[in-house]
Amino acid sequence: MKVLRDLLKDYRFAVSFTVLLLLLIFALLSAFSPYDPTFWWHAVRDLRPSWTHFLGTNSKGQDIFWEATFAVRNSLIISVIAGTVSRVIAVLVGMIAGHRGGRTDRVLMFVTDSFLVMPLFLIIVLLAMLVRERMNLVNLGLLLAFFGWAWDARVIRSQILSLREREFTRTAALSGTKTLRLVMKEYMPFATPLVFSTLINNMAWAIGMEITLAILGLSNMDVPTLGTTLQWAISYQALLLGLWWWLLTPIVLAVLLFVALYWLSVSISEYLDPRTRTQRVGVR
Amino acid sequence: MSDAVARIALRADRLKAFYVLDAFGTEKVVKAVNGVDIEIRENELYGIAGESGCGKTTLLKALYSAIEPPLRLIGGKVLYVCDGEEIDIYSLSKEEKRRLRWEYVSYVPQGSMSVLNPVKRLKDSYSDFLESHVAGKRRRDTLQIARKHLDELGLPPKVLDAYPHQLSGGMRQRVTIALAALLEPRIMIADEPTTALDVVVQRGVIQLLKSIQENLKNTIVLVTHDMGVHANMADRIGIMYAGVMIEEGTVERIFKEPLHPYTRYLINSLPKFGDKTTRGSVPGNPPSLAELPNGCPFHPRCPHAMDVCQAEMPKVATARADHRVACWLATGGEDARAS
Amino acid sequence: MRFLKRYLLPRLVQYVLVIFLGITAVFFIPRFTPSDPVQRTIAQLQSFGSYLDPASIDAMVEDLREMYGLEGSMLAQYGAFWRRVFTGDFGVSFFQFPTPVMELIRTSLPWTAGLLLWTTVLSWVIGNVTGGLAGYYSRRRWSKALDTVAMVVRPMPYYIFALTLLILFTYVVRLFPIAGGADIGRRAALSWTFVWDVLRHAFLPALSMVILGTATTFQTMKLIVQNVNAEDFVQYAKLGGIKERRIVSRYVIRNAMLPQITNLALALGQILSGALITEIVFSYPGLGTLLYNAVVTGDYNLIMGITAISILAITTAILVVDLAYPLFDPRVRLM
Repeated sequence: MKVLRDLLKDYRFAVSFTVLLLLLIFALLSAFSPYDPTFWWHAVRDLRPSWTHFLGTNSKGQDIFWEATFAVRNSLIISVIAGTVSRVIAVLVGMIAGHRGGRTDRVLMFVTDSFLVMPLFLIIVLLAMLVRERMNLVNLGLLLAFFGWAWDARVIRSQILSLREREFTRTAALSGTKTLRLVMKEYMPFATPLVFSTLINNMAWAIGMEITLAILGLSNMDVPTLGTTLQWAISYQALLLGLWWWLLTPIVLAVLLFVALYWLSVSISEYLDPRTRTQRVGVR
Repeated sequence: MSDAVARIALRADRLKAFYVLDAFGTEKVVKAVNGVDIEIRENELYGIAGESGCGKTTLLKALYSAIEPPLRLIGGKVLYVCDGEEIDIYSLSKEEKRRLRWEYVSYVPQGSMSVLNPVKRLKDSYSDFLESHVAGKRRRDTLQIARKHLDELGLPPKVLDAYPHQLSGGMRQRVTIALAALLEPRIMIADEPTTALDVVVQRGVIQLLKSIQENLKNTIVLVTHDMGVHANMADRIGIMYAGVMIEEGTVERIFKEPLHPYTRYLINSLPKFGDKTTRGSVPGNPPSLAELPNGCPFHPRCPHAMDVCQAEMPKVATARADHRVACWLATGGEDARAS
Repeated sequence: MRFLKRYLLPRLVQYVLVIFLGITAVFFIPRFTPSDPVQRTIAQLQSFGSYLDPASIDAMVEDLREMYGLEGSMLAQYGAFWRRVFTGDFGVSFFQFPTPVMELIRTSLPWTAGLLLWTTVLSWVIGNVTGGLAGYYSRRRWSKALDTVAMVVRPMPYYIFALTLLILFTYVVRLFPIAGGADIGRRAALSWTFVWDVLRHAFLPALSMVILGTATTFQTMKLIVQNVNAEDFVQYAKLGGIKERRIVSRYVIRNAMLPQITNLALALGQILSGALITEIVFSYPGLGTLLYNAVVTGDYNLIMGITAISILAITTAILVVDLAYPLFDPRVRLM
C-alpha cells in the first residue's frame, strides 16, 4: 500500500481518486432507488430541486437524482466492459506480436494500424445503426471494445519488445519454459501497470462514445445512461423550457467523470514512467 | 616545468556540492563533492582518476559552473584566473558566465556520441558556437574558421557538411573535441573521452588532445578511470574517492610511490610486462555517497585502518614536493593529528 | 533510391491496403448484420403511417435493393461497390430523395473542410508554441498554471464541450447565432456581409475545436519538450554557452516537432470525428449534420458515402503528413 500512499501525494491522484470514489458510491445508490428507472410518471413533472427531489424532476415525470444514479451506474458498466474486453484483446495482440516478431508481428501491426488510422467513429455509427434493437449495456460495451484496443496493443507490444531482449527472458526461454508460462510470469509484471493506465483512458473514451451514440439516437433510450438522459433532456427542449437542472445533471456528472478519469490515468502513468518520476524528484 | 614558474589557471577552495533529492517526501543528500581543494596550472595536462560514482563528473560540473538543481553548491569557491585576476565564477551574472564558457574554459562531456544536434549539419552546430561568442562574424567567415580549425587538427573539413548520425562514434568524439578547442580556451575539461571506444580510436583521441595542448599551450583536465590513459597523457594526476581528493602528484611520483592505500591498489591493479601474478583488487565496495562513513571514507576497506581513521577525516598534507595526500597512515597517524 | 524503398514504398502500400480494408469493411458491415436495410426502410415508412399493399411493397423491395446495391451475388455486389467508389457514385440519398449522395456530400464538404483546416492549423501552432515554452520553462508558475488548465480542458469529449459553449454563448449570453452556417436565405457571394455572417456562425464551433485541440497539443508538446530538454545535445548546447533563444528554437523545439508530426498524423482520425460531432451540436451545415440526418432517417447510402469519403480523406491526409516527415528529420532521409 506504499504505492497508494505515494500516489496520494500527487494532488491529481488524490482529487480524482476521491471524485471517482464518490461517483462509485453514487452509482451504487441506485440499488436503493425507490423508483424503477424504466417507468415514467412516478413523480410530478418539471419540478425544481427540492428536499423531496434532490435534483428535481424531468418532463417524463421521473426523479432526476435517482435516474442519475442509474445513469452513472450504467455508463460505468458499459465503460468497464468495453475497457476490460479491449484490454484482453490489446494484451493478446500486443504480446503475440511483440514476442513472436517476424511475419506475425507485421500482420498484426498492419491490422492494428488500420484500426488506428480509420475514422472509427463513423464505422461505429454504421454498426450501431444496424444493431439498434439489440443494443443493451453489454452489447454496447462489446461493440466499443471491438474498436478500442488498437492504441494499447501498440503500447504493450513496444514494452514486450524491450523486455524480450532482456536477460531474464532469454534465460527463461533457454531453460525451456513454455511460451505461455513465460509470457505470464515474465512479462505480466511489467505489462500490468501499463494495462491499468490505458484501461482508464479507454473507459473515458467509451463513455464519450456512448454519449455521442445516444445523441445520434443509436442507443436504447429506455436504459438510463449519461448519454440517454442527456439526449432526453435535449429532445424535450429542456434548455428552452428553462429546466436547467435536467440538462445540467448529466453534463456535470459527465465532466466530473471525464476529468477524474483523465487525472487518474495521468498520475498513474507518470508514477510509472521512470523519466517523469525523476523529474518530480526535486528541488527544495 | 619548475614549480616556481608554474602559474595557476583554475583553483577550487574547499568545494562542496551535494545533490539534494526529495523522493516522495523523504530527503536524500548525495555528497558528491565533499570538500575538494584543487589547483590546476597553466600549460599542463591534469588527470583526475577514480572509480565510477566517486564524484568526478560532479566535480567537473562544479568547476565549470554547470550546477543545476538538484545539484547545489553547498560551500567553497571556484576561481578562474583571467589576465592575472582571480574571478569567483559563482559571483558572476548569468550572461557573464555564459561568455566565459567556451572562450575561457570548454567542456567535452561524457558520451560525446549524442551531444550534437541531430537535425542540423555539423557546420550549423559549429556556427552556433561561434556566433554565440564572437560578435559580428558573417556566416561565410565562421565556416572558414571552422574548416581551417579542423584542417589544422588533422580532421577532414568536409565532415562539416555531414549530419551527426552519418559519422562514426570515434569521429564524433574527435569532432566534439575539436569543437571544444575552437575558441582556443585556456582550459579544456574532458570527461571520459576515451570510454566506449576501441583502442585504435582511443589512441586517435589521445593524440588529438595532446596535439591541441601542444599547439595552444593551454590546460587540459582529463577525467577517466583508465589509469593507462593517465600514464600515457597526464603531467599530474589527482585521485578521487567518495567525493574527496585523496592524493595528488606528478604522474611519475604517483606511479612509482603511491602513498594512499587506495592509490596503491589502483596502481597495483594495472598489468605490467612480465609480471604474471594475479592482480589484487580493492576488497569491498565503494560507499554510497548518500551514506558516507565517519572519518576517512576509505577506512571500511582499508587494510591499514587505525582508530583515528574512523574518527576524523584526514587533512590534506604535502608529503613531498608536488605530492599531496589525505591519509592518516601516510602522514604519520597520531603525530600528524596533533599538528 | 534507398530512401524510396525503405520509407516511401511501405507507406504507399499501407495506404492502399488500409483504404482497401476500410472500404471492404464499409461494404460488409450492412450485409452481415442481423437486420436487413431494406426491411428496415420499409418498416420505417410504415411507421410513418402510410399503408402499403403487398404488391407495392414487393416493388419497393426490388427498387430499394437496387438502390442499396444489394442485387446479384456477393461478388458482383462487391465489384459494383468498388466501381461506385471510383466513380464517386454512392447512389441516391433516401433522406433527400432523389438527390444523389455525392451531391449532398459535395455541398457539405467545403464547410467541414474549412472548419477543420483552420482549427487544426490554429490549434497546432498555438498548442506547440505555448507547449514548447511551457515545457522549457517547466518550473515556472505560469507553466504549471497553464498545465492545470489544460488538464481540465483536455479530457472533455467534443460533444459536451461544444454543448456547453452552445448553452453559454447562444442562450445564457446571446452573442452568437444558435445554428447553421449562415443566416437562412442569404445568398453565397463574396460580399463582406456574407463573409461576416459565415464567420459569426463558424466562430463557436471553431472555438470549441481550437480550445480542445490546443489543450491536447499543449500537453503533448510540453511533455515532449521536457524530455528533449534533458537530452544530451541540449545540455551540451547550454554548456557551450549558446544563446538561450537559439537553444529554444533550434535545439529544443526543432527536435520536439518530430514526434509531434507523428502525433498529428495519428490524431487526424479523432480530429475528424470531433469536427463531425461539433457540427452536429451547432447544426453547422457540414458533413456532421449530414451524418446526423442520415442516421435519423436511416439513409444507408448516405452514411456509407460519408464513411467512404472520410476513410479516403483521412488516410490521404495521414500519407501526406508521413511523406512530409523526412523533410524535417535528416536521419530518416539519409538512411
